[in-house]
Amino acid sequence: MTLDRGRDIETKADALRRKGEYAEAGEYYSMAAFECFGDSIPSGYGETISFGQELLLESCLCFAVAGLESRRKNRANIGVLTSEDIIERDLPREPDSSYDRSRIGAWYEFIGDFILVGSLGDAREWYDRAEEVYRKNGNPETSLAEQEHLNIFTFFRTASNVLITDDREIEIPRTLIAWLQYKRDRLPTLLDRLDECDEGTVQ
Amino acid sequence: MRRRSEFLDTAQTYRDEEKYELAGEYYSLAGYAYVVSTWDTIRTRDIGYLKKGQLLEGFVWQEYAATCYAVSGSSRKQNRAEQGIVGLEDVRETLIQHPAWIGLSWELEGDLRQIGGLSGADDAYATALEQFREVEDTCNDSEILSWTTEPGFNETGLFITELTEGVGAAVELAELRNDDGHPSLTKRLEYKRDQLSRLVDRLTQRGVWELKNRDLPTAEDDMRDEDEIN
Repeated sequence: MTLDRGRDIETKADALRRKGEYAEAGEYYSMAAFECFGDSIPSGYGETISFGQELLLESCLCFAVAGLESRRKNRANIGVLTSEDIIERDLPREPDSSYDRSRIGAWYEFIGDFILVGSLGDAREWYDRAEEVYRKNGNPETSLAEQEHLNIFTFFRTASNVLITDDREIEIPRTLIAWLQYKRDRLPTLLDRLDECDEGTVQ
Repeated sequence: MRRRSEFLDTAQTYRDEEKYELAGEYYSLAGYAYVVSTWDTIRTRDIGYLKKGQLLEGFVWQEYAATCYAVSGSSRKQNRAEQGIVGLEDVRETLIQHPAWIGLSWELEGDLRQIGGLSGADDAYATALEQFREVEDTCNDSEILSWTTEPGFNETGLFITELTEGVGAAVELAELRNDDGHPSLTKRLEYKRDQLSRLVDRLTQRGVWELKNRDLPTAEDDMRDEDEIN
């Protein structure tokens, strides 16, 4: 059980997703996610777990496209709990720079994303909390993003690829607050396209 | 399952040093090691009872994790319990069908609800009892004995023993047996249902859960299990 194995399984999941086999892809993304969770030596920032969270969001999205609602919500609930646990975890987070302090905001973003993708309810509170963290810590630039935010950006790109039909490159806004607003404006609209899944219009 | 023994060793070391939050982290990782290594195998081909038991055994290590968080005074015990319950829901929905495994999954959910201070433990145990009664109604004593030593069942029995010993008491074997003196799934469950919450509360008050010597999976066990999978 290793991070490398998680990446191998992710490759299989990606291939299944591109073939439109969403239920099976969802399974493989889940397996890959749990590989990452199991390979995450405890740390204050939870870098490895954040890759697992990206994979779990992809699993959740695939189950949503496949119409497997119970599994979609199950993965979303796991993602929310995992994020809450990282926030609550009392391990050293060093170096303790202004930039590093804003990293914890990523876990509030993850919760918001899981709530939206899993159709669990209202994500506003969690995105608001993320924004508050970024505002208090100087609103860092996204070009300096660490592992957790890179995973969040990657999931958004995947969701865009799955749920919209053109190949426009996603341009990540310059600061974390601008990014968050960008996502809040677009992710719900993207997810509305799930209603069209029965018509076979998603990629 | 390569790292199962490594994670458990580390968890036990931290527990021995009374660093319970860190012990909880590593028991959690051990739990994931079981779940991951068995889950993908079960999904791809049916290789029988051993792996299903090991899958559920992973959730027993989540119980150890939640208990360590409780002893450390951390509210993370609730999160760990909730994560286990959500995982068990998925396992029930997709991976297990036999009433013994279904019963064990509800037993573990009842345990996690008690350890995590969540409501609903009584309902979970009641469902587990129904499943175990069905097993006992259709199995002879020898078959029931076999079930009590299956992976998952064995570990959950050792867990309640460790909790009991942790408060300086001992499990009365008669409590776990039926009127004829044979091991019983239902009696074992009733004993745990009635004792677990009190035991965890006492350990939490003491802030100590002493480590007892017990046989844990070794690196050789991990390699053997991997060979079986491959």
